[in-house]
Amino acid sequence: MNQQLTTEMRQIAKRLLSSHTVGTIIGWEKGSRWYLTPPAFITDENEIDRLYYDQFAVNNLAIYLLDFRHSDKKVAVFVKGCDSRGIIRLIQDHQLKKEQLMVIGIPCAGMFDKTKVIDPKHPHELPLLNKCLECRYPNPVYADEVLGEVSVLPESSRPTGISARVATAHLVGTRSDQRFERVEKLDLLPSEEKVTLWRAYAEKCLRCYACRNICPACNCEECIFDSHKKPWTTKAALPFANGFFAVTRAMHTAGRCTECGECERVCPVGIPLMSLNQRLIKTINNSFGSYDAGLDLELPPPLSQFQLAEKTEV
Amino acid sequence: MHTIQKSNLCRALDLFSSNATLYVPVENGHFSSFVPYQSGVEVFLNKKTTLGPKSILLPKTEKLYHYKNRGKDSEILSDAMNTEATIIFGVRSCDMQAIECLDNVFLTQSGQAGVSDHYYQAKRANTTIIALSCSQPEADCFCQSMGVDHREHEKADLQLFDLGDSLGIKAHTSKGAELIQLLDNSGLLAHQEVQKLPLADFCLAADTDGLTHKLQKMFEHPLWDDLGKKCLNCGACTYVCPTCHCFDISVCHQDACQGTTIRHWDSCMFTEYSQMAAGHNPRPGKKERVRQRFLHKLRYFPERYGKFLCTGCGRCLVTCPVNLEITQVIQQVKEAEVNG
Amino acid sequence: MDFQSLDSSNWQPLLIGIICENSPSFAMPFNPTDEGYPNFRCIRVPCAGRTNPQYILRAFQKGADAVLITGCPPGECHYTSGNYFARRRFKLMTELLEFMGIESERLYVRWIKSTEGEKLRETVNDMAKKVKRLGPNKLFKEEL
Repeated sequence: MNQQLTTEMRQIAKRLLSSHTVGTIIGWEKGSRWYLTPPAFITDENEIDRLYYDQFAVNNLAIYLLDFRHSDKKVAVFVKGCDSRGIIRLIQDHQLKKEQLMVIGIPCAGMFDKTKVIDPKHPHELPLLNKCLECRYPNPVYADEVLGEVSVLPESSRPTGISARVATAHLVGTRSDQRFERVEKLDLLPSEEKVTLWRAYAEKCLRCYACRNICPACNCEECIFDSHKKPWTTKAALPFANGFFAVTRAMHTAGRCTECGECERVCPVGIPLMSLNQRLIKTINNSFGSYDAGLDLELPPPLSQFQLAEKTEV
Repeated sequence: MHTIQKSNLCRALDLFSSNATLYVPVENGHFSSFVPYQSGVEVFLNKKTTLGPKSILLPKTEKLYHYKNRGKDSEILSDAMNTEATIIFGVRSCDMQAIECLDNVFLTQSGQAGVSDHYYQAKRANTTIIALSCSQPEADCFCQSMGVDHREHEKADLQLFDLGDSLGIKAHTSKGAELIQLLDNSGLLAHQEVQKLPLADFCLAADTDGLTHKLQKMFEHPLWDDLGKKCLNCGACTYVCPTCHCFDISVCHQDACQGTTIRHWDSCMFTEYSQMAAGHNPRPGKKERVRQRFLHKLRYFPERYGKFLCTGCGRCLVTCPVNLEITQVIQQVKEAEVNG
Repeated sequence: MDFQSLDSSNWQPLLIGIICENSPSFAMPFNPTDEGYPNFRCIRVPCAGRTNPQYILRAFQKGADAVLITGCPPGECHYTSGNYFARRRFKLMTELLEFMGIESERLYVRWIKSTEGEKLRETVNDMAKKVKRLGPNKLFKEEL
């Protein structure tokens, strides 16, 4: 399955580069360990054999398209289901135009959790990431071309394509009904415990901005936290400032988060950032109508619109 | 060599903490770090910590002084310099080497007797470091390639050797000898013949032979174009790195008349790190910043201080969201073709 | 304005109002026996739609124990639709802050017409009474 997808990736890359349809191809390559498949940028036909795909290709490549905002040549990018919602996010936020992109959809059998690796030298069984077990969009929601016979489906669906059987065997999407479980558990804590919990996370936070930099919804040309002229809070990683950052980022991406889960994956100190985003998604679903970001280019995000009579009044 | 049973470690730590602030490695879920010791806490000795002891000597945020403005007059109030005795227990060789690098930067300024950093110096002078050998390197460790011996570090005050059920103890300095005396007086020490620990087998290695010299010819090399593309310009690698020491100074205004000036960590990976007041940025793109990071670690620092600013702890390899690995950079530099 | 120096027995809550310019704050007939007096401070904004989540966080950062946001009732916004956007934004903000431990009694969002000075006074007193029971706010407070 991976072998076939890798071959198809290389074939399409060769075709796109040799015909000068695109200037750069963003994909994945095998990393230095059996459990690493990091991003790769291919600009030359001679490098095509670097491209590789397996169940460690977890990085959401959509974020790199921001570096090609002003490029005069088209950019090709490979996307899994969750990544493709990031593409819609960027187009909808007017950061990119469709015409600049060549989006290639790829089927996903779920991504393995490398934090559970025991033997760094020899491959062994691994569980999937939690977000894959809860996934409702395993198929690309937007693509110009597809690999591995995957279907482009802009709605919640079961896995399709040549990896569908493996995906089902790995239980991709089987916990999608329970995706708010963690948030609901945290909601039940008494206020004092919530304060203690979030104060502890705010103290751990390093303000490395890994969460912000990897997020496709965080695509402002200048982030307010980088501004020296209008500093909303101190750059120093003091707990109150870290809390300010976390809440502000959650509110700025509210209604726009595509639930790719990258923010939580990359946090060096293990703060459960997705619980903040999911809490907001829960409120949006309950109060403003069920909404999934990064699917529909026409429909404005929930905070950019309103109803005259809302389901909930303040 | 003196030895102590691991089962007596708690008593030893209780003794150490009786007249000093003791920091020990503790695990919480997947995350481990050095925290102030509390009697009865379970000390984490299986692996090196997620975050090293850097934040004890160079804290994430540090108050420098308060100021109060009254009309045209200004009052500066400094907190008293912290001179309480501190002991850091369980420092690995890679982290000890990193502390040595920090000493180079903050204490000696290129080896000349010059200006030292008061805040760092006050802490460092009152800190005793108890190092601990590593029995088994982890998947991302490569300290051996960077010239660090995982079994022992000469600059630690007291060195512990992991012997299984017991710990071998050896003092390198008088501070270390004092601690041995303290343990001996309490009857916690035994004496036994200890063989030199064998060098371990590392999964990960990097060939650093001639690296600095080669990098001196590679500032404009096309290698940096490709390398920088996947970097996200977050600060994760710099903040978990035990040797990275860049800082910024910010003012926290309490109100219009008073506030606190704070020193805090900064990262050369951030875009606005090198942003100048008039708007020019000498490191405008990812390429420049990624190049700077690796040249600092592998060329500029060795040129100045004779050692790499990388101790092979591997934390950046684990943390980097896009697996930009220094070992791979070293490999690529090794293989790169250079003219002249 | 040294509220922080008051000891716990003498603690008075600091209430910050982010009030839209069409709200009646100047017409507000506070008297010294009110619960909310004299600890209520206002920040005027042109419209509730202008209020950022950051304004609320900054209020808590600088020592507020409760924050009141007012705007014009739906259909009466001076700028036509600012209050509609604000309604959605603050629904999210209130629930997010509650999720993190800031009780819902600390963040009030109310629609108050320009002629309803008495309603504003009652809202502030109600807020003050509830917050006095809860005690000082502990999350996001600027501590150095």
